[in-house]
Amino acid sequence: MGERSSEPRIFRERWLLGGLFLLLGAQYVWLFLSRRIPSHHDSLDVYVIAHLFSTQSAQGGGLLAWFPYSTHGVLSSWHVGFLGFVHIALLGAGALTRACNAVPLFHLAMLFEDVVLLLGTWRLSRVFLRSGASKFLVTVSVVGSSWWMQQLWHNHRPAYAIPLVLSLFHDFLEEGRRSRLFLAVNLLFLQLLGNLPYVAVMVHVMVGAYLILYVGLFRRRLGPLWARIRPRPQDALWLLPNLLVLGCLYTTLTSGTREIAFAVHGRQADGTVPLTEFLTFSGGLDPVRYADLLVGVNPGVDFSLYCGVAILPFAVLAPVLRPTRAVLFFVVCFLLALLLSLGYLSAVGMPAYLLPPVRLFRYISLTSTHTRLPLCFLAGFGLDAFVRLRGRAPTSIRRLALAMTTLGFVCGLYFLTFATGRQDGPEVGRFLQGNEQSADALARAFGGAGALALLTAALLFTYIRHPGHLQAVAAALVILNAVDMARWRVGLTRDRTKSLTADEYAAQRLDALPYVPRRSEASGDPRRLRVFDRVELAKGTSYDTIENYYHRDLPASEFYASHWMLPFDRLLRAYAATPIDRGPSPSPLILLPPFPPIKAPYDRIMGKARDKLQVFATAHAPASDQETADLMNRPGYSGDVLFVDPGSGGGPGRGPIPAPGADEHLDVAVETLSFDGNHLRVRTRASKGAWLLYCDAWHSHWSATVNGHEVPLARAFLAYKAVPLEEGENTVEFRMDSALRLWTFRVAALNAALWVAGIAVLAAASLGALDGVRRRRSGPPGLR
Amino acid sequence: MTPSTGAAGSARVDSRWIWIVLLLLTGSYFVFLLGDHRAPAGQETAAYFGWLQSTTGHPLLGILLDELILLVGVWLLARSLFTDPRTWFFVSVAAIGSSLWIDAVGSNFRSFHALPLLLHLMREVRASRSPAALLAALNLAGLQALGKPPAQALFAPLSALLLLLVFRRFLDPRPASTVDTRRIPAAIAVGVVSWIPIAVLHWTGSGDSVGAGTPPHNGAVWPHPGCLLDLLCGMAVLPDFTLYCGMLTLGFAVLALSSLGLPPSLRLLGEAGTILLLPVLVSALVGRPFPSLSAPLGRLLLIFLAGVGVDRWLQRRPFPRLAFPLVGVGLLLLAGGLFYLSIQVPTTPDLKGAAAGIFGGGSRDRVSPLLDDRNTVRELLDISGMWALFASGLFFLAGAGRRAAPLAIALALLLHPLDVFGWKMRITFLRTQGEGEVHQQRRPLTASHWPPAGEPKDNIALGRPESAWRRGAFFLLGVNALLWIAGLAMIAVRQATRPSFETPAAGTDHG
Repeated sequence: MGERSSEPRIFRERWLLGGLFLLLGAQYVWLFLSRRIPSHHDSLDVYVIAHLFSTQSAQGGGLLAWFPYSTHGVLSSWHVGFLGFVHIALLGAGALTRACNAVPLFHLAMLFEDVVLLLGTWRLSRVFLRSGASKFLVTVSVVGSSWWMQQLWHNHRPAYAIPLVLSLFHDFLEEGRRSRLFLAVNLLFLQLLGNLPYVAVMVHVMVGAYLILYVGLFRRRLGPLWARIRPRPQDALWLLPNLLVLGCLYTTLTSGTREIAFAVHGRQADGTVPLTEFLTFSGGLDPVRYADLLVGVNPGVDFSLYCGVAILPFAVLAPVLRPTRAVLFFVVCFLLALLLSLGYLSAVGMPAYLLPPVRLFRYISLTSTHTRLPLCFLAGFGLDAFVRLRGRAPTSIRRLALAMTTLGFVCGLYFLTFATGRQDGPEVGRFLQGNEQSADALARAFGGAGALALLTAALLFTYIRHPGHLQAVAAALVILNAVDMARWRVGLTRDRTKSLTADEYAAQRLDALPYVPRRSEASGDPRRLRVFDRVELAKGTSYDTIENYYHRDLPASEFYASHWMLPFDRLLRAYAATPIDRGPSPSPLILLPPFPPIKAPYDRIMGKARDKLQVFATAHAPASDQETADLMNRPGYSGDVLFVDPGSGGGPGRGPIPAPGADEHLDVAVETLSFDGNHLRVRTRASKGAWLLYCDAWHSHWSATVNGHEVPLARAFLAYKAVPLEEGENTVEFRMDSALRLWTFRVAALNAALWVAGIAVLAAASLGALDGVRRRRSGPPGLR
Repeated sequence: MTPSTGAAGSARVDSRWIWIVLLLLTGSYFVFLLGDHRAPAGQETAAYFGWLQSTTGHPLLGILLDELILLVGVWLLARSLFTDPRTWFFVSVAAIGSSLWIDAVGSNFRSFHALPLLLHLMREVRASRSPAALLAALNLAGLQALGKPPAQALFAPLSALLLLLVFRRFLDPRPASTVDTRRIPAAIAVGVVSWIPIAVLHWTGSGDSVGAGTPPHNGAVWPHPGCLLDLLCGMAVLPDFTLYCGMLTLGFAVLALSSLGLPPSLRLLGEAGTILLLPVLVSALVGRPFPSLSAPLGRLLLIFLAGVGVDRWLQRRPFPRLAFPLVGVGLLLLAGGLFYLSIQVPTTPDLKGAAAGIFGGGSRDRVSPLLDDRNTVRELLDISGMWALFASGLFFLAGAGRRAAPLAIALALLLHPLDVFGWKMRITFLRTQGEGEVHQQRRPLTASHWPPAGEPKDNIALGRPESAWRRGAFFLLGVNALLWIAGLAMIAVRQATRPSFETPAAGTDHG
């Protein structure tokens, strides 16, 4: 497959691709100069997580394995997967990024993903489309519509690598190139990096469905190629490295997570969701939201559908003007993705649930992201057919021009409605599905969409009256679409992101994480606390991870905590006076208003009324966690006696438990020597038999040394860490050790870094070496 | 008339795959029900399921068998009436997909589920005087009476006779080779004898019906004409019956009428209307009239009428020049109307009252409690609007010329099952409760529902000692049912293994 026409298109394609890079680059230059970052919702969460990991790496601490200020310390395993390729590659750069600011690094990471999307879409469009104009149209729309500033998880990351994966699969299917199969599978597996695991699963399902449909519809064409693509024994050499990477990814993301208490509503113990939940969570299923394809108001905070003013008209033209098998293929892809996104309203979601991996997925309405790619390709087919029209304009063009005129006037009416201050009529309120947008923003959106629709109609009428101007009209429509995408994307970014001031920008430097000695509302970096509007944060789903960014250690965060460590869960149970091993987990929110203030002795135990580092004259080992909880809840107990679990790795033997009023707490200073997410080093003096308590959650990957000697790390007060001290001066170090996790991560990071380099090479080759590219073998006309 | 479209014409389609897809579609619905342990949440079917579970085990298996009887009947009938296997597919999908039994198993499904097979067997008898077909028809006429009040038991056989009479110009089979007619009296005798166990159950039972049928409590009132709107919007507002059978079915039915011309169309509609009065008359004769019992028969007639349109389209038969665009415009207007209604939902103060006014003549008790949930109503209106929009686009595409016809056909065959089965699954989802329901945080989709229609009549006298007569009758009926299951399985396997590329001769090729 490839270029078949004799027109001097190769030269033009290079310029078109260069133009695409320029358009993309200009947007990122604007982002960089205006210092824009996500202001709330899940994209902010990604920014914060990237910031935390980068900080740890920049300070020479390697991979951040622990978030110290989330729910009393929590494992970061799952969050590693949230980082994109560039951030993961940068973690290896370590100290090189010490003086860096997190904002440009974040922009760089997103630019990389947009470049992957751009190159992938361009390559895929070369498989199916003829004219350079249609490839340009499709690529502009696919890249432009993948807006990531608000809901990166569902609106960008599931889609950005799919075109490149598919184009690599096509290279294999059409040309039998094994290396491309290896790369496609590798990139597909690496989708576990940068995505939520269940989103990555859906990416795999989408790619699988695409390939099955493609092979099914084009089986006769692919039949003769079977000899080249059939499995061979040496394919194991391609497969094994990919399986190794997959294993490394799995280990990196899951190592140590058995000790996590998972509290996401609606998920079952094994992480799957029931059918009812799968088909309805979290609402927003109404198909009317697809009307956004016409106007680009972007009603929801979680998804966007708009792909440009010319996409829907050309997509509608494709089946009429070019009713080929390839068009049928993309229509089916579009329909299946659309119907899946309707949840219980369609017949697609229920059979899809039969696939075991799909049972991990929630937010079915957000699979609407996957409708954009096939829709844009349909538009490409429509444009391909449009530029080849001869003679009088067909009836379908006339109808389309009338429809666009109607759309223009309808948008105009809405524009007037908002421009004159009537901002929330019932119809629009319903269409917008509750997303709050200013009247100005809505007026701008409807005004722009209306004007562009009328302009499109005018261009179509021009062609109808002057068929000889067809090529000029087509070029104008393509340019109009590119301008529209830039307008839409810039408008959204301006309305829904934050432009940092110089002071706020300075606060984004990758400075070392400070140690917070006591859990307190007063903790936190005041510069960072001022950056984001907390009311705005509360609107989106903001996670408690952000407290680490704020350098704020609280008994409980007001933001959403989806998981915490099992030992802390036991402490919460003791606090709530519920059975230690049974029943649902209490939420950490019970430590916040409107619940009563943290009662004694838990305010001391949790490092709120006392420092998180405390020294006790000795430690005692109750027989069980339940007994520990009962002892902590005894009347008169003041938190001055340390209880540890001997089964957790070390501690005193069983002995008599002191009376509730006993005081074994030592008023000894503990000096902090060094601190980061993975370790804490302190110095203190102690008497014989004394113990040091560190109110940070216990986990089996933590270890401790006292004066350089390895000591067992005991679980204290059900949740925390404690070590026995030596008589005299003690230098104690708590350290997070997980060699398996570290090395598997390094393999995955190396793989990601190779992709970063590879994409850079591919981009350069696409721009500079196109004229040297040999014409690839053409496919039969049916495909195009 | 001039042809307005070129169609796929003589594409050779292997009916085996189509049949297998149909079986998979039918089966997938039950996989969904079984997989999520879904059970009816209210109304007649819930009471019926409760009763069956206490006696015979999982009631879904019985329903699956009944759906297979309907599927086989529609498939065989379509095979003998239409020329193109894709039309058989279209008609079968519409018939199975629109048969919703989750609320009113009796009035909306079982009253007519055996009719297509019965009709097919009677045509076979007329065509070939086959004693086997006659015996099967008589036996089926008796067996389908199980689970119904006596009046309902008469609907299918009487309707089949009436249809053969009224639509004889369509339904009369071409004479086939006649088999030995000397065995016909024996077949009649055996067929009639096969009714004896049913009669025994009836006469030794305590009630007035055979099995567990429960008359619909709302159907006894003459329905408001507005209930016909269910055909257009698929809201399934009323408890006793549903009319929706797909947007494409509507469009092709209109196309079929347009191809006949106005006077024949009016006559056809009049004849169909006459037939639809049959359940009303029969139920009126034995008590109160139940007009809603005509709904499944009406759906079947509409579906086969649409089959005429589809078959003509696939066979490149002529249609009026503007037929396709006009149907497209009609469906576009329908989509617009549904979206408009959806827009009005948030501002309508008494949504249920308004719906009751439109669909149920003002009686709030007669409409679904789901109407209390505005989100659900909006979603249902919008999804129907979306399908009307898609169907409209398809008819525009189909009218766009010969080049687009293959694509239009492929899309029609894809969209139609997605539309009809999507409707069946979402209504089922809303009106059943699955095991995951406790986790649902969005809204209590199925918590509110019609109250159960009352305990079914215990005509088989649970818990009391059975007489030898009754035990014998049960045994014989069990054997009889097993024979039917084996027969249906054989037909299913045969249809899946024997290719059929050509048009079967009516009355001679029935699988």
